[in-house]
Amino acid sequence: MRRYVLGRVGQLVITLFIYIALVYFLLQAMPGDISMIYLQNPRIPQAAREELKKQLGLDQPPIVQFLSYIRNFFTGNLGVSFSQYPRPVWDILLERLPRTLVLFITANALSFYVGFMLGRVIAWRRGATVDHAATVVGIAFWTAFYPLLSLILIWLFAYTLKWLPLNQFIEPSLWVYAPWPSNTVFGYMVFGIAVISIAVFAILWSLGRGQRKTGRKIGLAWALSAGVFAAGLGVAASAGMLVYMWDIVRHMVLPVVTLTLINFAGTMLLMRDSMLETVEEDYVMAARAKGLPDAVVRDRYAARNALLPTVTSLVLSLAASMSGGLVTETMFSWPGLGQVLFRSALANDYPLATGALVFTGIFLLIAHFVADMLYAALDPRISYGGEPVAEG
Amino acid sequence: MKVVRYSMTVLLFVAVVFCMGIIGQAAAGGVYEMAIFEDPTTVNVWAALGPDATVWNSFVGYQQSYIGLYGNAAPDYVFCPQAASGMPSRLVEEKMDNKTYYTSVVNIRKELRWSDGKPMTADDVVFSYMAPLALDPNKLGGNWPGNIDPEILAKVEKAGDYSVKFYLTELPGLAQWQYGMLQALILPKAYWDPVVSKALKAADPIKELLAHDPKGEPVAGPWMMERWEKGAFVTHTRNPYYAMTGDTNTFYKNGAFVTENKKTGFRYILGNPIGDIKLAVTEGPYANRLMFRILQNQNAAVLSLISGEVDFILNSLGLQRGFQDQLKKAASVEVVENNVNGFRYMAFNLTKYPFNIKEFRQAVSVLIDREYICERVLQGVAFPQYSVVPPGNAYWFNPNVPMWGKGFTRSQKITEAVRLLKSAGFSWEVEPQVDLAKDRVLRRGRGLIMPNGKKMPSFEFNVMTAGYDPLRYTFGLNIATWMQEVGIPVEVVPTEFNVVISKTDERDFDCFMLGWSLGLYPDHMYWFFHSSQCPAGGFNYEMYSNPDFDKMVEEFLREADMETARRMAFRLQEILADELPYIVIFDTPLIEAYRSDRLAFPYTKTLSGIQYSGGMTSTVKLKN
Repeated sequence: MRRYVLGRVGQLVITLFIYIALVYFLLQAMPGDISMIYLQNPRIPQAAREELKKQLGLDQPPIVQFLSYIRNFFTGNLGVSFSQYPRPVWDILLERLPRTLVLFITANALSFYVGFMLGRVIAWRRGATVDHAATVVGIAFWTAFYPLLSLILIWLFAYTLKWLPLNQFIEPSLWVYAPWPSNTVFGYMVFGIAVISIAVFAILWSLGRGQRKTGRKIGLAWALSAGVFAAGLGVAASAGMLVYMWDIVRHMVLPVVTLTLINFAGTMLLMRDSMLETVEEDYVMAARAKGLPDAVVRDRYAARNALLPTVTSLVLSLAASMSGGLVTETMFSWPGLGQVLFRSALANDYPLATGALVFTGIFLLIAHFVADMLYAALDPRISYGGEPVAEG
Repeated sequence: MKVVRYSMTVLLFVAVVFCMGIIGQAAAGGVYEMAIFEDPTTVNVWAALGPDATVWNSFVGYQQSYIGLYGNAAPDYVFCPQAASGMPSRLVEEKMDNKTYYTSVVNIRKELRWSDGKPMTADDVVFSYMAPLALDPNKLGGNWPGNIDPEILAKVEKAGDYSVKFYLTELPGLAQWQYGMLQALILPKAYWDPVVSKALKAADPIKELLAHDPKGEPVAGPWMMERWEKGAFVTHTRNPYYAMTGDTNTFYKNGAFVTENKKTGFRYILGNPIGDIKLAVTEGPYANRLMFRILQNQNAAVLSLISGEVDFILNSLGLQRGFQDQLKKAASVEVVENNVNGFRYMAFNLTKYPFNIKEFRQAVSVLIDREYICERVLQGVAFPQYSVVPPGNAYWFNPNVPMWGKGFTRSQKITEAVRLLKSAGFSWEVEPQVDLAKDRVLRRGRGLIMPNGKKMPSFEFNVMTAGYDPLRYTFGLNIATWMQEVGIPVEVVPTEFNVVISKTDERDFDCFMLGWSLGLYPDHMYWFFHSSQCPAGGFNYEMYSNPDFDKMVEEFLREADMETARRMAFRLQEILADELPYIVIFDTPLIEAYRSDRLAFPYTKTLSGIQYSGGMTSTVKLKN
């Protein structure tokens, strides 16, 4: 196992290097450079353009620029942005990261949850009306033109019904007087959600052990979880941050719902296919033969074993969350990493575009690695140690 | 039990929906809210005028908070004093240390204060010119070399507490002096001097200076930056010491202009202020706060405007035509349309044969039916243009420039183009034929033979892709079709913007279509058409070279008298309209919209729209 892990880490480093080189040279292959913006104003003399090139290192041959970039990269320096000169690339990425993470991880987790739950149900009730209905609805949203769906939802829920905010990730009139910048609040939200999730998981795990789930145990689990959640809210409220967190949450609703509507079908169909295979397995039939309730057979026997491909898909999509989503960010005025990447590429801001791509790439590579490891953890039939494992 | 559970779920949903609406009502009165489409990248004025010179940085930054010695009073854009108390003294020749200088003295208004209450003095003005010179304006980049031209400005000295003296190495023209140096922004010395001094000692002074995050920087303009929540909004509050509050700019119908402030006693008069008054604008600001909401797309901005979340959409490109009808139908929303100061044009590589033949270009210009495309194809989205100075820039625009083919029918255009080409020695294997009476093309031209007897090879016409600019793409396709009709073997190549820029910069093209946004003073005629700009890196992409024109445009650039410069500009436009190094084709009007129940602008008809004055934040009145 250790040998396998080390081998995979080695592969990751090589892949990362190739990836950086590809990204770097592809971006460099774009026509022109950022000094071309000076061509839009004839009052800017040629000397100023040459100075800018010199300042940004663009007067050096591409290979020298690349080697310098690689050297800096492996010392943790992504350079300075050309279009926001002289702001460090890291600074820009870290500024956008919290709000990108909060939005896209929430949306991915929710769409995974909805997809998983629905996929489980419709596979179990294959051919029933709920199967057809969920599949048609899911496919309809999946194939919908995303910007149009966003506009419809904004128009309906924000503009016409006025239930939700029209746009942006915070309400400026509230935040003018806020004692913290929004990124601090986002940071606390990420931290708080992580702590609460771990606590709830620990509660559910410790109370879920054993063969029987009694009503009392379930009640206790819910009560404790609610207590943890309430404690979290209490801490936020006592710090005066709750109103700002709530503002962020209400701004998240529309983009998260839109993303969920668009994406849940993918997980649902994956889960459905996977589960259709497992329900045919002998152990599921055996469980039924034992007279276990339908829900138990479905959830604890069939669904758990069908989970593997969907978990892989979740892990990869969570990593992809780092790159944000240009359309979502634009339609909902939620500036995240997707826009950074888009605008920097348009502006020939190589360090920023490369930084954003490499940053995402690293997370995706790690996610692949984690997915591989999860396979082994979730499915005892898979072993990376080279030793044969008995099936069934 | 189930009923209870469902009831609880419904109740919870209603409660959540109710709570969702609790926060986030529009801001209270006194706040002028604008939608902008991009985050600023810096609030450091050195960076915002330098390498980070974006329109968004200007809108939320120095345009609201800084003043110069002089400015241009909208809507007529009259050159007038801001921090100065009158016009600069006439430039006189002075000898110092065996060098000849041209010097001028500018006096400063004594009532000016920084936002920390301290007076603005000659020291601040001297610093504002000498610090960039010490750092080298070319290295600062962006607008700096245009504002503080190191080729001309030798130094600025303090001539008194409220008086400064400029030393120039040569006599400047209007573009360099009135429309350049004298409009540079004045920076607070007390704040920036230590920062600049520290930067000058650093290994990379420019990087050090541009990286500075200005906190608590005093300003002299109407607004002080209050908060920048990155990605969401920027707010400004009123500068309590803004000394120009109460300045009334009066524009007379006879062209005279007066600035007067009854409270401070300041008075400046240009021309003879008698007769009817065209417009009087009194400086505020009248709002208590500015809020720039950063919305990332026009749909969001339009919905926000209609629903009253913002009062005005501030965008240098205006709004897309598609939103105009929606906005016109909305209650309390006013849509305004203004001419812009720019044009889109096509140009040939004049170092290549036969593009260097004047009649060839004239024939192409005749063939282009600008009115047809603008009115029939594009349904009024664009308007035709013929001159390198747009009609919107009324003072400098020559209305009598030749307009090739205007008002001609298709067959008349072809007939005229054929006549022009024949007069230059062109012939055809198959000559185009038209029926003038029925306005029909009977035969398309084929095999155009150049005056040197060779058949004209096909050439590329680089136009923007439809995705980047559908208007230029449409024009490009139509122009190519009309050229092909008379046998000109053109091939349209939809090209990405950056590629076109790259090709023109490297002079590697046959023919292209691009556009320009212009400054008020038409010195672009020098930059775009003077032969010194022909080599790669210059702005004479088409490589037009005409010694007579060069001489005249050089004189124009040096001219310091407005009336004489205007006469020269008219003559230059006539030459260019005849020689056609640029075939000017069209431009688009700027469409803007605002809440008429919230805002009262002193005027809305102005060149390049309300956005050109940064949203008129210091003159707009709030209705509630």
